[in-house]
Amino acid sequence: MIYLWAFLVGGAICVIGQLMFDVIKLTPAHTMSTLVVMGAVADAFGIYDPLVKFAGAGASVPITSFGNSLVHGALTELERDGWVGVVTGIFDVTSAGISSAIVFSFLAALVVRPKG
Amino acid sequence: MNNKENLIKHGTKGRETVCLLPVPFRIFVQEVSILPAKTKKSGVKLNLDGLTPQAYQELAKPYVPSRPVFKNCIRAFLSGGLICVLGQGIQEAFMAIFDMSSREAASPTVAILILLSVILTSFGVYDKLSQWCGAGTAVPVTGFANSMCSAALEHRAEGLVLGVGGNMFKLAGSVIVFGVVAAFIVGVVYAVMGWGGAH
Repeated sequence: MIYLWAFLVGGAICVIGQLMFDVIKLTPAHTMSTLVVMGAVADAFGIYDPLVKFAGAGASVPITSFGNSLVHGALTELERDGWVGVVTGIFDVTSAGISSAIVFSFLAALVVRPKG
Repeated sequence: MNNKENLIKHGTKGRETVCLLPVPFRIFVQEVSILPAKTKKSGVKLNLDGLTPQAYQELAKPYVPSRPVFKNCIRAFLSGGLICVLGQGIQEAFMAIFDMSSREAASPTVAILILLSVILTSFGVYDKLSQWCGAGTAVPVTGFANSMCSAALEHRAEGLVLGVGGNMFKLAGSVIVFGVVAAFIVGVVYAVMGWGGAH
């Protein structure tokens, strides 16, 4: 059942992105940035976590979860370490995604010749 | 050759090159090629500065092909949904094999998806997919990895430091910047209001 909800919710978030491309005519970079900020704001109001529980990867795979994770890290460390946690905690949760994207992309650039 | 002939010659020249230009420019060049005959100055003066971006938008509007919004949305929905189902599958596999909670399994799942995306980008498959899928491949985290990997590959020829290192975040950087700024603002608001961090 979680697979169905992952499909529906993930697809719906992609449709929001597609509508931003086609209807508001934003560039991909603008669309991604908007979605990330939307994810961050959604987590600020505490509505993203229930969505992740409900739809699993449908909510955690789209880029909106990146904003959610940034806020999540900041708030968790704010709770634990006080003020300084806001800065130290931002990349806490997203570190896996960013690090692996950097490492894999770098390795790919070492190995692969671009095909033009 | 007097001035007028010169102008006419330039004018026809302008008209001959017309077919090479995209449609919106074509009208404009036609208009321009008539212009010099009325002006007193010699030579063809392309009045491109007089065209404001807004005026160009107006001029180009009827010639921009309308986008098949509904079809694109269906494609984005199907492909984006499938990527999320794939992610869910990987996550369940991690939870089953390594006995992780769903929260623990989220990070390795993202890493695997990014690895897949980087491999597909390296073989040039991801870009072909994304032409069909539109936002369906751009919005999931795989699209984030794709933007970084393609930027890295594209600038490989400029060297490892300046090319790969300097350009990797060319597209993905805006996502990180806006995400971090938004997260910081939220964090400060929570800190000032004295709300707890845990949901």
